[in-house]
Amino acid sequence: MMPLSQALSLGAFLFCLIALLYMLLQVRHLPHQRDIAPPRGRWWEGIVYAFTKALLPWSKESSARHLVSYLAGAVFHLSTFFALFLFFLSFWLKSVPASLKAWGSLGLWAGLLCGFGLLLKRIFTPYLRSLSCPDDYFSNALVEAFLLVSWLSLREGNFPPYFYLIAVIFFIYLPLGKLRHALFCLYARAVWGGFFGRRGVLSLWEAKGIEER
Amino acid sequence: MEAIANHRFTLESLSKSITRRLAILVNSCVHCGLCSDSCHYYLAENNSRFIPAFRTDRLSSLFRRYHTWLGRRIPFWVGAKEVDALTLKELTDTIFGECTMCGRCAINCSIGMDIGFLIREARKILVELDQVPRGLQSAVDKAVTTGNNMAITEEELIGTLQWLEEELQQEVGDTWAKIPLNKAGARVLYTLNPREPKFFPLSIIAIAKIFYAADEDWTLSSTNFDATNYAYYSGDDQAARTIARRLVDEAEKLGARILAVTECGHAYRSIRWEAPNWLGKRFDFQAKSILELIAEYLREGRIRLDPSANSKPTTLHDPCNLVRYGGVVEVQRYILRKAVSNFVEMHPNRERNFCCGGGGGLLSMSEYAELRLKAGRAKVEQIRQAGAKVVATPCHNCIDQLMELNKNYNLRIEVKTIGEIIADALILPSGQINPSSDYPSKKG
Repeated sequence: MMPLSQALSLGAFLFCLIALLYMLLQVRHLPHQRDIAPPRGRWWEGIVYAFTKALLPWSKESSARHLVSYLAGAVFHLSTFFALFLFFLSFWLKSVPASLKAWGSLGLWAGLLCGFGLLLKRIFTPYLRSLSCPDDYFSNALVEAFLLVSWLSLREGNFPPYFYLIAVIFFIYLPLGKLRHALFCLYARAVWGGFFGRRGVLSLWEAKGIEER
Repeated sequence: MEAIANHRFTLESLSKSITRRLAILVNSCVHCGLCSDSCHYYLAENNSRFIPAFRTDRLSSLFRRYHTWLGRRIPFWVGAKEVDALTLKELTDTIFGECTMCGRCAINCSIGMDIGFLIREARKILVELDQVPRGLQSAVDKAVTTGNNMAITEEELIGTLQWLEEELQQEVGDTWAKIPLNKAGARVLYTLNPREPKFFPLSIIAIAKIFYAADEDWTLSSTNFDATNYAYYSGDDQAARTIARRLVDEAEKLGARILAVTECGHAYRSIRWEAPNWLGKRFDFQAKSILELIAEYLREGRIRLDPSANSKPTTLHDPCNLVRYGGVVEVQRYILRKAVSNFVEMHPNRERNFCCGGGGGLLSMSEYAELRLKAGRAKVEQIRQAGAKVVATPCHNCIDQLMELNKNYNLRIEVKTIGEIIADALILPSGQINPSSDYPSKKG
């Protein structure tokens, strides 16, 4: 029989999934103005651009200028995805293999350091502080707590109840606060790419044509 | 108090018209602040209120207050704000006075948020709350009631065009050269920015000369000639629809195959991209920038240019609504490389170009003039670094702002439309190089 902490975390995950799905359906049902004007470029090219070239650190001035923050953000996110992967894996794994322990610990530590760095930046940079609300700090701290318990679990070689309890808080809070960007930022990125791709502004290839397509 | 209650009621009822795109965006910003130095206002003022994310948060905070579970219960936790806490004056200043909707932050957003779109959505709300700054609203009202944003009468326009036609005939040495008016069946209906007949008539002659040299079948309308649409800037979709419909009806009435938009960024964007959405249909004619037509003439050999007539170092300012939001990116470069002998790019350029500060309707809002000129500093630096003597830009709003920057920052440049530069280099059908190239600078 599944331990209580595991069952709770699974319930929280289901809550998170249903809440996000509900939000997604809510958004899908809102009025939407399709662009009627004939396209100049290809919308799909813009979307491909948005999820490939646009992610490269040097493709946007903002990421190139703030390279350290951008890379820290990337590592923090990748590390979070890894912690989520561990969470799902924990339902099948009885003990953690040595290779996963070594590399996983490294990844989680990198994520923790990057996340903590970003938290410090938010606290000590005046312009970022002025942009932030408690949700911003709490969301960062919650993800870091999740990374920390994931690392501790790897170190111990099994997944103790506190790992699942932090996961419960993480999954319940995700659709309520800023962390829901996990869903919406993918959507926003696709809309961004489609919009500017259709207008012929974003292109996968450097040279843009001088004629309308 | 009653006013605030009314505003809250309006906001709540407006919430029924939240669109999908808006809902996605207000849920996406992570307050990373990476957009900060992509904004010319922030670069000029170095104040956190000018960070694009801060601006959009003014709108998102309202959304969170009324449309999220935590925002309704623990507003301070998620930075949710009520309309009375914001104060409408602050909201208006931020949304109208401190953003040109240039979209540079949208191109640079690490998430991929179209912040220009969000600002316009906020302007739509402020239209409902009757908070549009007077100068901008007056331009919209004039366009709706008189047919153009400068209230130029048909008689005035015809008088100006008759005088310009005589000038054209003298310049090209051909008494048959015409500026046709209301010609049914013409292939091209050319539209103007009312500033042209009012203040810059030479830019009309420049285009008329190009049409003459290309032997184009074109016409102007004496009544519905205004390509601009300040209601796009104000966020008033109903007025924008009315203004756009006039142009569309005129093009359909005259049976034009191409509606050519004068060198004006937001006018191009309005009729090419937004008007089909406002009117709910695709048009029977093509909406094109005049630059696209000129490029066609050059490619087809219908006009020839002598670049030595424009030998001063010339750079190009990319208008945001034409380039970043309009997709007309390379045409102007293709033309300028043929029309001037020393073309230099400013950096960054194309869709990454800095806004000059004159967009978003800011030129019509005198209360924000001082800040607008400060915000032009990024553009001033770009021009200085390019080392050009002439700045070409296909937008009359940009021209006005660049002329003011020129004066205020002592740049010692000439500001010209691309049409004017081409007209100066034009080889007329007689083989003569355009004599007007000896004219003193039209815009200095």
